[in-house]
Amino acid sequence: MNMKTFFTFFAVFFLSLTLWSETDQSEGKKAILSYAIPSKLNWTQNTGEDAVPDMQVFTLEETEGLKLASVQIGNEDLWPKFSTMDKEKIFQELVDGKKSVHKIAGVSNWKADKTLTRKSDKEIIFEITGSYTEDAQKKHFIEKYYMTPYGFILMTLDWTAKSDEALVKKAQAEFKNISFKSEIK
Amino acid sequence: MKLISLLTILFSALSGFSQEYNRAECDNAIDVKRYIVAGSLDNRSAGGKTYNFDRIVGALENELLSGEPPDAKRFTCLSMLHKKAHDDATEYWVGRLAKSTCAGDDGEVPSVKPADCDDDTWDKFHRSKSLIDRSAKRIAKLTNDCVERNGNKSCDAMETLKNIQQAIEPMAETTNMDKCCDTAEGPAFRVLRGFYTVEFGDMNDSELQKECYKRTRPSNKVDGVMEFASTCIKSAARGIAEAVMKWFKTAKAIFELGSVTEIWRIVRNMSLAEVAQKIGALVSAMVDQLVAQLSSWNNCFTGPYKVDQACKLASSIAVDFMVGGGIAKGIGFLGSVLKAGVKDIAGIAKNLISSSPKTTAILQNLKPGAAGKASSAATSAATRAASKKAASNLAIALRPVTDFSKSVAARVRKLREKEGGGRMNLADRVEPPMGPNAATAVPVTQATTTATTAVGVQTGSRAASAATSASNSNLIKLTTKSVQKIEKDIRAFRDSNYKAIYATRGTRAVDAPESLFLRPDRLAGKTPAQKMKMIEDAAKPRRAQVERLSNTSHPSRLTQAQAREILDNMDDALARLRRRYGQSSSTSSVASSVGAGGSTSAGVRAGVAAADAAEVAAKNIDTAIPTSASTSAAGTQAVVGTSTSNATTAFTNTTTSFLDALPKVDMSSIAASTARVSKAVQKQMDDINDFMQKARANAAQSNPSATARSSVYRNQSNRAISQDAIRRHGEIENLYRKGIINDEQAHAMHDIVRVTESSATGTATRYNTRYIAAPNTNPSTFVLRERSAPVSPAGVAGRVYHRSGNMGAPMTAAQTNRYSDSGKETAGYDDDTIAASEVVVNRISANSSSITQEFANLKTEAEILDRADELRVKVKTVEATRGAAASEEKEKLQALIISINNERDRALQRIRASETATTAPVANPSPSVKQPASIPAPTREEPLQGD
Repeated sequence: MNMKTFFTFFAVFFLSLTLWSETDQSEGKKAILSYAIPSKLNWTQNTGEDAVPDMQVFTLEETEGLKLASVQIGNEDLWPKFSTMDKEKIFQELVDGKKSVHKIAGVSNWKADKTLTRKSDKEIIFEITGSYTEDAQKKHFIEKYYMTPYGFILMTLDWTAKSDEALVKKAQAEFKNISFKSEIK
Repeated sequence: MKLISLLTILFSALSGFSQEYNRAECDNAIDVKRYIVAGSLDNRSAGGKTYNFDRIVGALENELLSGEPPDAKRFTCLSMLHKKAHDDATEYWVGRLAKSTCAGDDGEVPSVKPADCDDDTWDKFHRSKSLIDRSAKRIAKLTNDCVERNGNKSCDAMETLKNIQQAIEPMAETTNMDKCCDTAEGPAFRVLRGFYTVEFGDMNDSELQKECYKRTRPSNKVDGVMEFASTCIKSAARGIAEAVMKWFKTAKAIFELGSVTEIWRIVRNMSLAEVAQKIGALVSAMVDQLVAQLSSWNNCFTGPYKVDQACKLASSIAVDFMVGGGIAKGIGFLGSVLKAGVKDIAGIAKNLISSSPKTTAILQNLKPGAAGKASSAATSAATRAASKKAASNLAIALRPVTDFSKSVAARVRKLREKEGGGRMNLADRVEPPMGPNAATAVPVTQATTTATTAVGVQTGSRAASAATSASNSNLIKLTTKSVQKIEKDIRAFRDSNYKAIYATRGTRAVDAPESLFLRPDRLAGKTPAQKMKMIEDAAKPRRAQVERLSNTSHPSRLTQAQAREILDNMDDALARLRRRYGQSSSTSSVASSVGAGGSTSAGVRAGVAAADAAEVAAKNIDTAIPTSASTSAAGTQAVVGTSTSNATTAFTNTTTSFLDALPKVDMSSIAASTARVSKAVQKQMDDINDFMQKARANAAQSNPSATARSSVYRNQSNRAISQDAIRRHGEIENLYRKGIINDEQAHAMHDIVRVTESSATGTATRYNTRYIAAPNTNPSTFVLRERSAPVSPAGVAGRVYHRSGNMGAPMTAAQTNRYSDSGKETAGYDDDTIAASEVVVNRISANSSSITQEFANLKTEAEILDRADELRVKVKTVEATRGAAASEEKEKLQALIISINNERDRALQRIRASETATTAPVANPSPSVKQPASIPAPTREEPLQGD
């Protein structure tokens, strides 16, 4: 393996949004992680001073609280856990971690469903969908973890009760169609 | 351009000034020993040193009437020194007269000697008064009237100085920028490099320096603080996001992933403003704490950048804390800050700052070591305050000298009133009331003669400085005080600093190079290899000492030029010794027999060494002044004995003065000439050669082999000097004092006398001057030549800009340090940057108007400042990447920077003037400015353009 955790990425925007993540390999080979969202929504990406490397946040001007976000992380330590643990165990550990923050963040009523899909022996997609209450406001989320031995992509979709329902549905539909790809070059 | 150069130099000189002479600053500008003929400036007692007033005033005259732009630093230092001399003299005489009967009830010394006034006090006071009044009068005339010499008017120079005074402050601020943004030691640059990794991580040194200049401009207004506070807040928010990303990368368990995901959710679902609001209080408290702890670099940054800097660092430290403490700790902390709120935010901030390794690292970087330089640059607030003071310091320097007699009288009255002490006739007193040193302190006339007695144990230049009157020197009577002074001088020679400076300037380097390193008699009976090893071993610590003294932060440290000089001379001596001891065995046997003779004399030298040095020196002087030989030195006179040659006797007769035969030399024309020497200049040089040849031959002839030249071990001057040489040194000094020759010429001429005095073989004592006496074995080929490369306009320009009191040191030690390429190499500069910088530098140095054109079309202040920064960075890049380029090249680049600043100011003036054009037209520069072709026109107005 000897994969490095160093990530570089570039994004290409057409009608859909595609983002590639690339992992260097010391032998000169690269593991490239990418995702693509065929989207017809007019997402606006936070750029300029708000931009943080390896993190993208997209919002829709047409509605409030609807947010698409992603991070690309080089991390080889998590894959052994995801690849060996079952869905319930993964979920339980993830929730335990989240709960440690919920208390100080004032989050309550957090609940979620989970799915785990093994695309290949080196690709797992773990997804949780749920809601919670924060600042007396009901909020919703979908988190999709694309896990590989080299790292992972975490994509999230957040919305609130105040968000435009139609746009949320469109966004949800598009979010379900996210495609992930992992290749070695 | 010259003006700006002067301003830059001046600022560096004046920034550290207090209200009086500042050794730390001025020792680099003037050779203070030259003006103190006895004692030390370090002696706090007013009577602890003897000033040569005439020489100080002579130097001031040279400064103002040389035809070159006045060196404000030198002028100020000399003026301050004169004022200190005046004050010390006043204090000394107040103390002495207050208790004497020589001063009347009104404190004044009457014109007729009171009956009970002792002769000694009366005579010495009047001699001192005469000298001091005369010097004050000369200064008053020089600074108030338009004294003219060779077409150069002192009033023009004074006008320039006054303009400089007014312009110090802004230049000082610019200089501060340079300090703050120095790529090696600038605290602001360090902070940007070390802690702005996200914004400027990809920048090379050159680009980052530009950013640094931008952030440290004095003109940065506080108007944009809010904007930058917002940026700062965003930086903090970004820092938190960065921390979260790091946690993602370092997560090792799914549990941690879940925690980080939730924190990330909080961050991503907040706008930056919301995050900022949440953490604003914390950052604000941290900024306060940082400013308190790290005021050094914070004071470099100006306007909104100051806020930005502290804010950025605060957020960075907070992030470090979160990440460094592990995910759990960081998440807990951040969660508390973001969501739960923190009660004791100031306490947390303080803990964060003080426990942060980053804070420690910054403090470490800014501390001495880092410290000496960084802290000086770091106290920019103080520096700026000092720069404001600098103008007033120059104003003080320009202020007329008070009347000596009246000052003394007034203070005598006050002192008597205060102490109510009685008066007494001091005739019976051996020592003045202020201690033994006081006797030689102020009465300069006496000091002159006393110093003359001391020349036997001092260097040639000191001998010259003292011997203002040849005829008087014949009348010297060695009093107890004189002997005491001599002893004191000898003690001074033992001072390690003094030794290090002068160790290789004496003739021992020529005659007995081994004695520079060890007692020659220790070599007796050793093989050549053993001798050489002993010498080499002894040389090592000497070299180390010189290097240490040149690197120390002590005010009296050696300048780089001095250190180089000494080390060079040591190397020369070692080279000669290696040649000597590397000879064939037959030669060696001859050498050893000679060596035996030599060691006899050396033994004599050793015999009079160390503890007995004072006594022997005094003895030598006692006999040497009347030109009787020192028997101990006879063994060494064989060399001198060969010097008769076929020289003329043009100067043999002591009634024939150097002055009479001195060829007329216009150094300014030499300096202004190009590398191609004109016929007129060549003629002058030939005249000098001719003069020197005659002088040398004459001195050789007039110096009988019996002339005393003892080499007393550890007496660094180590030679008694002939009366004739004393006279010649004195004449040279007179010429210098009268302004007929400049200091460099004087040094060169002193060299001639020393060489002639010491050896007819023509091996010169190298002296630290731009002009080096470069003889060879043929006395007729004794020449005076430039040490450095042939004069070029740029070289001349550089020298003009960076004249300093240290002979042969075109830059001050600080400047040398600042512009030294050592250790910098080309790190941080890529080839493209260097190449691009060189293109720009070539472009702006193409002709005198090139830089002007760079600013010609700029309309706003920001554009002008940006352009100036950009150009300065280019030049600095070229300078930093030139490696061991010629000093001339460095000077040229430095001049270019000054020129850029100059044009920047002009451009700023232009746009400001255009705003008020109707009411305040700006004076147009005179088109008839005389400037060397390569020197851009000065920026300041008409009064300065004659520079």
